[in-house]
Amino acid sequence: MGMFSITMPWLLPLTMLAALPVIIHLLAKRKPPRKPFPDVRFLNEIARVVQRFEKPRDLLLILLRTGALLALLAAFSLPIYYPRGRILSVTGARDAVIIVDRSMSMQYAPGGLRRFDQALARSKNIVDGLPAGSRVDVVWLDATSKAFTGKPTENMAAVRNELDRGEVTCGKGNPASALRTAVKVLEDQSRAREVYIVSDFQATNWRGVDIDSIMPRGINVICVDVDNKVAGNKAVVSLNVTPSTALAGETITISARIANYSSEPGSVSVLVKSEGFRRQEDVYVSAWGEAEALWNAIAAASGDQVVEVGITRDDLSTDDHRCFTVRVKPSLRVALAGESAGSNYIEDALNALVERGAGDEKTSRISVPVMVEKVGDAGEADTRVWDLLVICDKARLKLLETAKYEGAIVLVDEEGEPYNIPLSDGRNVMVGAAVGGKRSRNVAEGRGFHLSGGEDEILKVFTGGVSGDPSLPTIFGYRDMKTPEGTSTVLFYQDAKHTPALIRAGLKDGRVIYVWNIALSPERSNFAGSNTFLPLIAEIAMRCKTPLESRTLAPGASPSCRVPAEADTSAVAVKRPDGSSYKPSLAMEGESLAAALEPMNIPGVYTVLSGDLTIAQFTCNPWPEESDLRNAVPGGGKSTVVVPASVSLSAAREGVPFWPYLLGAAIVLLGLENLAVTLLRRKRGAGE
Amino acid sequence: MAVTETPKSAVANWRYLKPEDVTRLKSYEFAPRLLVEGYLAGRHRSPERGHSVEFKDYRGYSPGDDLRSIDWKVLARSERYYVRLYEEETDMVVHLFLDSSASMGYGDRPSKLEYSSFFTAALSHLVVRQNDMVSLTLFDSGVRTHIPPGSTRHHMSQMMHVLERNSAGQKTRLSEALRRVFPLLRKRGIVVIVSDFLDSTPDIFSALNMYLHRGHEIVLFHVLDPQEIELAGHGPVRFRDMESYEEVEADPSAIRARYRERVNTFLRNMRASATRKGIEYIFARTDTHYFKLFDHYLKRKATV
Repeated sequence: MGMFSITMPWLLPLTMLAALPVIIHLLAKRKPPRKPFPDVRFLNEIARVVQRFEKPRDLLLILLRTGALLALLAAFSLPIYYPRGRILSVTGARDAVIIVDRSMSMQYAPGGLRRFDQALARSKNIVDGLPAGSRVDVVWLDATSKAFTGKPTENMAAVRNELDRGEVTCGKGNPASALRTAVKVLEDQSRAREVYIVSDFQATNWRGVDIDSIMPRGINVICVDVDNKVAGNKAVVSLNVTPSTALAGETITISARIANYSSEPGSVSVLVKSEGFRRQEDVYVSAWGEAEALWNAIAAASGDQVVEVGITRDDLSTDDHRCFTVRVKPSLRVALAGESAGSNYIEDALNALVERGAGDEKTSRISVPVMVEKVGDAGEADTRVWDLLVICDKARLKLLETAKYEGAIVLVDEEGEPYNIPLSDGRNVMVGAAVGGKRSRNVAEGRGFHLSGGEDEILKVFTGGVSGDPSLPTIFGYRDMKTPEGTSTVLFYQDAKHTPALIRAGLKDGRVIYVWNIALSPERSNFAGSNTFLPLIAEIAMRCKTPLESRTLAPGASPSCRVPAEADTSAVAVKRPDGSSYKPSLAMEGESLAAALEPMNIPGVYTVLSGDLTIAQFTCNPWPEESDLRNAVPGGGKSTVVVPASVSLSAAREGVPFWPYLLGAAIVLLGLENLAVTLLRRKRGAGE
Repeated sequence: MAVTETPKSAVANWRYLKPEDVTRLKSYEFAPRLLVEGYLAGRHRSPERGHSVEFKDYRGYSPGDDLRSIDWKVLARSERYYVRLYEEETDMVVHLFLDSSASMGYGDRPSKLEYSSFFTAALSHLVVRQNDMVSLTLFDSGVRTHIPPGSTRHHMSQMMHVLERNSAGQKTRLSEALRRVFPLLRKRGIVVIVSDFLDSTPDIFSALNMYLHRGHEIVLFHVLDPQEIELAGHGPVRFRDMESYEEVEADPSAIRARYRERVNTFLRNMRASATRKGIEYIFARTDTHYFKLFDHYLKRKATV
């Protein structure tokens, strides 16, 4: 609520003169003479109607005269109006903290002027308006909420300089954190303390923030609003590519969600581009709704492949564009350890994936690049990372603990004794497995395997989304295995017991071990010759693909990447999305050199280069919550004062001289009174 | 036609009948529109056929007829008995009703009551001068004075005395007065009501119904003061009802137009109601000489 201050209060008693018109009216009102009349019934009828209009007219005249006099007298007392209360009621030096919002929503620029620029201007106004001897500090309201100096400083020039250097981020704001930082800055100060919050008070950031609970008593909070208007915005709020780590030539699915934070539905033109791939299409988005767009593309080559999705630019352009770094591996690395009756078939199958792809031309469209290496006992020193580790000999089971892999297949001896596979988390994968020693009858009757997963998932043996009945030929030989607790049966036989054929054990670190319980030698089974074998191996191999570290990061992240040996370390640079570049800090990480990037605050692609060699590409995207520009009611605390965007800080601080308005009002009221009197006289004249 | 003049000395002292007015009245004659019935042979035709010089018709003799009425000449010519019929002239009776309620006291020089009294006196003089009979009833909320019909000098003198002593009284209840007087009027005649008619219009005409049914000719003289009609003046005034004492504060200049419209509506209603019932209605303002009422009324009668 606004408040008034009177400059010349001793003139206030004069406002009693406002009663003058009423007194004059009462005095001037003579008692009308009494006059006999033959019959007053007609007069009575008419006077009742006429008085209904006459009395309000008289009342109106008195009101106009009284109002005019009152306005005139009030004007002489020189009142000053404070639109949102007198925010600087405490005179003298003080310690203040200015929290300046620089979250992404502050980039909203209706008419070309960014909210952030307005915030900076208002912050400087605050600094300029502080009484002499005051001290001030700046806290940037972003994800980190850091203070400029950590203690209020008298060096106003430095504060202004900090404000000049401030730049808006593409991240989200953390108001509670900023408020706590401000409290920390002011906690040891004994003078009058004030916290100014200069923000657009975006609802997604400020909803639920209880200023009173954070701010201790004695600190005045002044919310300085910046362009707190309802603003419409369209944004690309998410971009996802699956798989995020792909093999060269693998199909990747790009999905983008387009949000419409406005009450007007409409079509949005969406452009997606990647290496060798470019599409544009219109997507209809309902009011306050979202739409999803999907595309399939091919992971072109090894390295980092950037996928970009953009829409038509609007007043908040930062969120009209999103990027995703797809990590592309040249091939799967498979380690084959030991030998057994079935190991040759596995090896042949893996090699076949490279040469022919999984399956024949009619049923399969994928080609899985595989690099198969035979390994011995890997020691601690072996740093090679395998996508798939195939253990064909129980003597090599130790590799499960020593080797670095994403997934492993353990082949159970076809004629051997049952054994357990001890896992690193203390479980045993196979307990008391009884290996059948004789040829079994065809139990599948040509129907093949049932393919299941942990959550009733059907294992997609064939790529392209086809799943189901592979029409297996008869299967010979299986072992009577019991599925241990904590594992899931991926494949099982069609006998009465549903004997497991392929068991999947997930380790706590996310790695997977498959226990292979299918005879592969021709004398025991013709599975290795069936058209299910290759897709199954391909599927397992693809599932064991080691995901590479994501290079699609949130704002504020400071990633690092390995600098390859062939790169010229002196020429390593990082190119920012805005075209500028800087030299990253280089440090040894293990045996290799790593480049550490500074925090990413510009949405887009950060490219780490060394001359012409692209070492890595990192992408940074804005927070989707920042795209919703709806505002919360600023303040909310009992002790907070809100200065709306429409009120200048000087007006809030020094007030607005109100006497010209009162003088104007008095003139208008007198004019109205004059007009009313003229009209009444004219009407009376017409009546006579 | 027998017309008797009233001696000058008989009217010399009356307040409401000045000698000069009597002189002016010589040129006027008051005659009813309808036939009247009377005891004395007068100048007015009667529906009763009787002895008179005015031959009307023949009819065959019937046993019991007066032998003197047989037309002997017709008998000589046609050897048939016919009886001569004459139209009988009779006296007219004028019943005067003068409103003496408080509202009639309104007005200066003259008040409505004074004006009406002048008119009543002149009318009485005219009637008596014609050897017709006149009665006078003064009323307000009831009948204050009733003088039965008469046509003598003494009768006239009595009426003038009553008029002079009369003053404005209480609330107007014309309808009530008409009902009370009705049994007293034995002969059909002309009922002349002089009033401001500030009473319920439907009640007034409802009460007049019985007179119409009896065969009376009714003439209403509606007397109003100009101030009542115009509502002159400026500034707020507290109007006090002369009958109910109710007070209404109003500025005449503010309500004048509406008031005039309302009074005109009242007058229109009065005239329309009278016309519907075949009653003569004459409107009079006290700022016009009452002789003009005679002019107006007699002119109208000539037209009728």
